[in-house]
Amino acid sequence: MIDINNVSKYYGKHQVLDAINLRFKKGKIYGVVGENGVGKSTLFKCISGLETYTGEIVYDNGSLKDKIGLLLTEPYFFSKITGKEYINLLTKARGINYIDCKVQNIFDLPLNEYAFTYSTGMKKKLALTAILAQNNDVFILDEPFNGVDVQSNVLIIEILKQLQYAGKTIIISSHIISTLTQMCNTIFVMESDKTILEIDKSDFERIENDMKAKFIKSKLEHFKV
Amino acid sequence: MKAYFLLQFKLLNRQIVHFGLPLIIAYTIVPLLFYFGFNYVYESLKYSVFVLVILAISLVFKLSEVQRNTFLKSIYSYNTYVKIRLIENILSNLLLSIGLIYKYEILACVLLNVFSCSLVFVKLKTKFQFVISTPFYKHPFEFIVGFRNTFFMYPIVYLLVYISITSGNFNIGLFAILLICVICCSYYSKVENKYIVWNYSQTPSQFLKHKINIALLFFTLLCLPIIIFLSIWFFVNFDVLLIFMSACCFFLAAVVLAKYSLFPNDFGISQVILLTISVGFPPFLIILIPHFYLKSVKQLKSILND
Repeated sequence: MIDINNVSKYYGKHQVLDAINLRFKKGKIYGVVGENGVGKSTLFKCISGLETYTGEIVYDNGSLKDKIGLLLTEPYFFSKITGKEYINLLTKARGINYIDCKVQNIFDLPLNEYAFTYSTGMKKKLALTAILAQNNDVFILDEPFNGVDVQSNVLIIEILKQLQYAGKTIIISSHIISTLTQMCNTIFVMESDKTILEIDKSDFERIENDMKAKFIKSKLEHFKV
Repeated sequence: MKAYFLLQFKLLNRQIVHFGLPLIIAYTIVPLLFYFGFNYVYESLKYSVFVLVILAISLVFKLSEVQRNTFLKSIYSYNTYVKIRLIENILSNLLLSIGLIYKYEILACVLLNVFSCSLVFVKLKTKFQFVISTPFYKHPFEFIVGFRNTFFMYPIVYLLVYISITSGNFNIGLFAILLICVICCSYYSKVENKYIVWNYSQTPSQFLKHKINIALLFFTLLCLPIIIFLSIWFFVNFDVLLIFMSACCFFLAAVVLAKYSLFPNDFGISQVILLTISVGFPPFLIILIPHFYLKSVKQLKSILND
């Protein structure tokens, strides 16, 4: 279980997170939604330990950093490294000395080619393959479905469900509400006023309607085609 | 076109300032350093012109990078694009061209500029499907990426060793080792993304030791053939070879540590100055290595395990 207590984050004078309190349990899938720039990625980086913050993040199973598989919105690749070498790099960093890339290559990626020659979706799939190979307990996935083809999206959803059954904690940010409502147990809505709404599965229908009422109506009032 | 070059000039100045160097000093030091460096290499190496021209062409290849050129083509007409690229390539060779003319190496100067200009009309492949094999593929990434970027330098280095042996000039052999040291140091010149370092389940000291061990091991492996040949042909200078090799190892370790001493920021001017002092006075490395080590540990503490 991950407990986030009063976590705040400033970039200079600009406050991004304001005394956030959240709890992520084992074997659950959590969605995080919110407008662009509201602080979803910052929250993920704070949980991972990639950003400093004030407050407290407690994990009940040792060092959280070493058990998180983090998928960034735009995964980082070196210019001349093959897909296979990228997977090896990330797994060796976690002390896994041997990995059978053929078994791990669930998305059928051309692992012997340079990763920088991959398309956006392929890069995302490679990054996901690498963090799955790390055998983490917690997965934080920032926009995992962006740029990925439909077939792979279906596959990712199934993989995430299997991870959930295996007792892993999964936190996903996505702008595709329908996908989130399909698989999440809880969705957190990060508002621009720094508050966070917690919505359980039984109330998921509410999210889309609330968003339509709140954003679309006010934005389109003065819009003319 | 004028706006493009003004923007490039602004970007260059920004990079210099970000590096921590006042502009007036940068624009004074760079030509001076080039002058002394050029003279040193020209006087001390038999095939210096060849080496210098190859280095200049590798810089021009950087400017021919596909994404950059696709962007330029997308915003300028073809004629303007060609003019921009021709000017860029000639400017990047400018200092060397002046140096070559100064030494009456007119043919080399003409060939360098003709080749550089012709590169403007060569369309490089957008995606290199051909993966260059590397003996370092099993170990994290500096030597994998670095070797693929600089593999063409190794035949030149080993050719220098051959020249050293055939001409009976031990110093050329040492220069070859120095060149490998510089090439290996260049593998550590760019700081990797925070995410890559974050992935390591290590403490900062374990992480740094691992990085230094890999650097020294692979550097020694690359130098091994040179050491063997030089110690056979110049056995009387074996002690000099050993001391020189050790100095290179210490310097490489200092560069690895310097890289992380400001992490996640890039190298700063202070590191470059300290490393430059250590080149002129190698015993300084005894102070410099622990200094960089302590700073690196401090910088890495926030994202690695304590």
